[in-house]
Amino acid sequence: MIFSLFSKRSDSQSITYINSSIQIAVSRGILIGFSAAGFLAVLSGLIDLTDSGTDTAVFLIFGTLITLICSYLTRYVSEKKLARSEIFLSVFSGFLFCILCSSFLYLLLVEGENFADVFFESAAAFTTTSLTTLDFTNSGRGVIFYRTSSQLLGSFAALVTAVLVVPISDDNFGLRMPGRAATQDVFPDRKNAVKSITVIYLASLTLLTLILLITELDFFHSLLLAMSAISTGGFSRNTNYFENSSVQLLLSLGMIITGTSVVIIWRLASRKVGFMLRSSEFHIYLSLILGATFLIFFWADEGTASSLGKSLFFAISSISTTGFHISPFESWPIAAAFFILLLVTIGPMSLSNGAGFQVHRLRILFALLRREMIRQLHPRAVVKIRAAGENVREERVRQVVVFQFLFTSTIFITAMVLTISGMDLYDAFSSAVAAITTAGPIRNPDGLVIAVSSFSSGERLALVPAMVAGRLYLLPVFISLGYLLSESRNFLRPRRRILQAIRSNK
Amino acid sequence: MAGIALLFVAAGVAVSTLVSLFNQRVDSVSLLLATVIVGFAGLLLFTSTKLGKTDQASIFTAVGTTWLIVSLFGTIPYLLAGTFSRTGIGIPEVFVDSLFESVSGFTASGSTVFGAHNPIEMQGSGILFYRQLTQWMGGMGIVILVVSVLPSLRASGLGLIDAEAPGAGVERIAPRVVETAKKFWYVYLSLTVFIALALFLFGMGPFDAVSHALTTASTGGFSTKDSSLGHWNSIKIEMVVMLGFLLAAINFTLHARSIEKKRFNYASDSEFKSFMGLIAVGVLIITLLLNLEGFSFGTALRNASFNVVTLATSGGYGNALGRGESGDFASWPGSTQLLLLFFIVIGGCTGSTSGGVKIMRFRIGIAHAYRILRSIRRPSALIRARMGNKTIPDSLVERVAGFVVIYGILVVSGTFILTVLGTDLVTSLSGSFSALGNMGPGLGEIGPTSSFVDGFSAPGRVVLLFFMLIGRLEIFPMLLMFVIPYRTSVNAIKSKK
Repeated sequence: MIFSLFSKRSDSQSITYINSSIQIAVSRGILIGFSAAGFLAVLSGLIDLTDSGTDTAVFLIFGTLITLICSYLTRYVSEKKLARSEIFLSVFSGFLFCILCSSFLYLLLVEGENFADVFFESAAAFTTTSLTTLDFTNSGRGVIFYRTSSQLLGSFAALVTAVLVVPISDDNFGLRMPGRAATQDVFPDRKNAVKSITVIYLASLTLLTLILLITELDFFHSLLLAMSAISTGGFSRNTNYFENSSVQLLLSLGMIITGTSVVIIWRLASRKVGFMLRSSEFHIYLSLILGATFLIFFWADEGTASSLGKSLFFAISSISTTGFHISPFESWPIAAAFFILLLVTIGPMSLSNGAGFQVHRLRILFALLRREMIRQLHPRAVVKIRAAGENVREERVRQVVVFQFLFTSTIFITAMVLTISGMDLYDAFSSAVAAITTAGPIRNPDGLVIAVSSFSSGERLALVPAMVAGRLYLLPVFISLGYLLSESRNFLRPRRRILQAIRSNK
Repeated sequence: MAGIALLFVAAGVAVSTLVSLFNQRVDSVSLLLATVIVGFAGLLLFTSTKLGKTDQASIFTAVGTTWLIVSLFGTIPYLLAGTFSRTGIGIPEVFVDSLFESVSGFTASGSTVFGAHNPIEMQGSGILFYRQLTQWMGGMGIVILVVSVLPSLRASGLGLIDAEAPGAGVERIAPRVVETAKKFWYVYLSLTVFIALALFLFGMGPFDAVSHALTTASTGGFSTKDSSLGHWNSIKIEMVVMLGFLLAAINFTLHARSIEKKRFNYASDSEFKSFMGLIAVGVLIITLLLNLEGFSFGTALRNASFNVVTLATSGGYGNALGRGESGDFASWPGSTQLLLLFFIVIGGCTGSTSGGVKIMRFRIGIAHAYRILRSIRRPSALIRARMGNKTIPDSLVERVAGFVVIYGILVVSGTFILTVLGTDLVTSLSGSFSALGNMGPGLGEIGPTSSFVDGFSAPGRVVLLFFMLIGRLEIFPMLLMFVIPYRTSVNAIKSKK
C-alpha cells in the first residue's frame, strides 16, 4: 500500500544501487521497518486530534516524511527474489529498524528521556513484552495509541512471519494446521493467508472492544485494552482496570482467543466447529488453562467467585504470554511464582499471537521422550514420532530439539549478563524468561511486579535481544545472525572476495 | 546380581568394623552386626536367584533393582549405629536421613544430611570410613564390580555395564567383558592409591588421606570433616584433590589405553580437550569476576579453580572455612553462581566417575544445532553433525536429544515439586540439577558449607534421593524399571481379554 504511493519505475529508472543479496535483504528490512513505524505515527497523529492535539504535528510530520522517503527509496533496491535465509534477515532487520525508528519518535514526544530508555520502550512494544519504563501519565491519546498499537503491529508481523516466512519444513509449521487436520491446507495461498489473518485481527479487535464497552470503560480505553489483549502485549496505563471482575472476565475471553491458533479461529469463523473440537492441541491448551486456574485458585485459598475469576485471568494472562499487570493474591506460595514462570515458558498454541515454547513443540518433545524409552528397550526398533495421531517428520523433530537448545541457551546468556551487572539469581532468571517469552511482567518470589524502570539502562538493554529473538520464534534470528557472520567472514577474506567478484563479472 | 553386590557392601562394612576396632572402637558392635545382616541378606539373595533371560528389559530391571537394594541395605549401619537419631525427630525421618546418606554415598553424589545439628566430626571412625567406602564402591559402579567377578554373565555383562556407565555407552577395552570390567577397576584402584599417598605426603593423617582418596577417585565429595577440605586450609592438598578429580573425570578408557600403550594419548581425544578448555575458561572468568568483587587475585584464582574443578568433575568438596567465607560459592555474586550452575549441569567426560549431562552430549548438542541452522540456510546441502574429525551418526544425535529432553523435564518437575514443598526457587533448581548430576552441593541454602536438612524438608529429601539414583544410572534404567512391570501387566490383561 505504502509503496504504491509512487508509480512503478520505468525502464529508464531501472538502475538500482543495491544489488547484492545481503544488502537487498537488509535494505528491504530497513524500508519496511521504517515505513511501518511511519504509517503508525500518521495514524496516531490522527487519533491525537480527538484529544488535545499537542503531539499531532510531530506525529504527522515524522510519519509522513519517513513513509514518503522510504517509498521513494524502494526504487533503488533490486527486486531480486531472496533465498530463505535472506528473507529471515529481512524480517529481522525490519523488526530492528522499526524499533529504532520508533525510538526516535519517542525521543521527540516524551520529554526528559534518554535513548536507552526509549529504545527499550519501543522494543517492549513491538515485541509485545509487557514491560514499560516511560511515564505515560501525562501523555496524550496519540502517544498512548502509538504505544499500544505498536504491540498490535508487532504481533501481526510476527504471526505473518510464522505463517509465511518461518515454515522451514512443509509439515505442521506453516500453512498447515498442526494436529489431526494437518493434511488439509487451511489457507490456500500466501496472499489469502495474510488476508485471513488481517480479518481475524480486525474482527477480534472490534468484537472485544465492543464487549468491553459493557463495562464502565469508554470507547478509547476499551480499544486500548482490546489491542493489548489481542496482541498479547499486556500494556496498560491504568492497571486498576484489572481489579474489576467483569473486565477480567472479558479480557480472559480475548486472551483465550489470542492464544488459539489462527487456523482454528478461521475454521471457526467458517462455521467448522468440529475442526476445533477435534484439535488435540486445542484440548491441551484448554486443559492447561483449566489446570492452572484450579492450582492458582487452590493456592489463593480464598474460595470466592471473584478469586476464581482472578485465578483464571492470571492463568490465561500467563499462558497466552500477555502479562497484564495484576496484583497477586495475599497467599502466594513459592511454588506459584515458579508455576507462573512455567506457564509463560510453555506458552499458547502454535500459530497463535503468543510466544513462548508453544504447546505443539512441547508435544513433539514428549513424543521424542516416549520414543527414546521404547528404543532403550528395543534398540533396533523403527519408531516414528507421532503427535495428534500424525507422523512428524524427523527434520521437524530436530528443529524442535534445536529450538529447545537455543531457548535454554538464550535464557542462560541473558541471565548471565544480568547477574554480571549485579542482579540476584532469581530476578535475573525470571527477567530472562519474561523477555524470551515476551510475556512480562517480572515478578519477585512473592508475586509482586518488579518495575523494570528500577533496572539500570544496561540491564534493560540486555533484555532486548532475548525479546526480539523470542518474538520472532528464535530460529529466524539465529539464522540471520549466522548468515551475517558467514558473509562478513567471507568479506574479510580477500581471496574469496576477489574470486566472487570474478564469478559475478562472468 | 543384587546378592553379590550386597556381599561387596558387607565386605565394606567389615573393613569399616576393623577400622573402628583400631581407632576409638565406637560403633564396632553396630558395624559388626550390620556386616552379618547385610552379608546374610546377600548370601540369601545370591543362592536363591539364578541367571534368567538377558533381554534389555531384564537388564534394566536387574541394574535398577540392584541399586535400590544396595541403597536400602546401605542404611543398616547408620540405623544400627544411631548416626542420625537426634532429639525431636521420629523414626521415619531418621530412616529418610539414613537412606539419603546411603543413596548419596553409593551414587557418589556427596550431598549430606550432616550439619551443625549433627556434626560429622562427632561420628566414630568406623561409620565415617563406611560412608567414604560407599562412595568409592558406587563411584566406579557396583554393577561393574559384580561383572568383574561374575564370568557367568558373558555377553550380557556389557549390556549391564552399559546400563550403569555414565555417558553414551562403554567402549570395550579388552576382548572379554570381565577383563574390561577388571581393567576399569585396576585403573580406579591405582588412582585411589596415588591420591592417598599424595595426600599423606602433603600433610593429611593416614586415616583422612585414605578416606579422602576414596571419595576423590570416585568424585564423590564426602569428607571426614565438617568444613570439608577447608579444615586443612592447604593449597597443596587442594592441588592434589583437583588433580585427582580431573583424572577421575576423564574417560577411564583413555587411562587404560595410556597405561597399556605406555604413552599418554590424551591430547588426541576431542572430549578431553573440550573439558579442559571449558574448565580453563570457567576458572579465568570466575577469577576475574571475583577479583572485580574485591577478592585479591590470589584468593580469587585459588577459590575459582578449586570450585570450578570440584563442580565440573561433580566432586563436591568445599574449601570454605565456614559459611560466608571466601570459598563459600553460595555467597559469591550471582554471575559466578550461574557459571558454576553451568558446570554442575555439564559435568565431566563420558566413561568417568563424574556425573552431569557430560561434555560429549553437550558437544553433540552444539554440533547438532549448528548443523540444523546451516541446513535451514542451505536446504539442498547434505550437512552432517561433526565432532572433531568424526561424523556423528543420526542415531547418537537422537539418543542425546532424548536424554537432554528427559533431563530437562525431570529438572522442571523436580523443581516444581520442591517449590511446592516450600523450598525457594534457586535452592530447588540447583538441588534438582545437583541431585540428577550426582554433584553434591548446590546454590542457595545448599552451598558447600550447608546441610541438605537446612535446605529441604524430609519429603523434599526423598525426591532428591530418587533423583540421585535416576541420575547415577543415566536416567533410563531407573525409569524403565518402573515402566516395564506396568507394560507387562497391561499386556497380560490385554492378552487375557
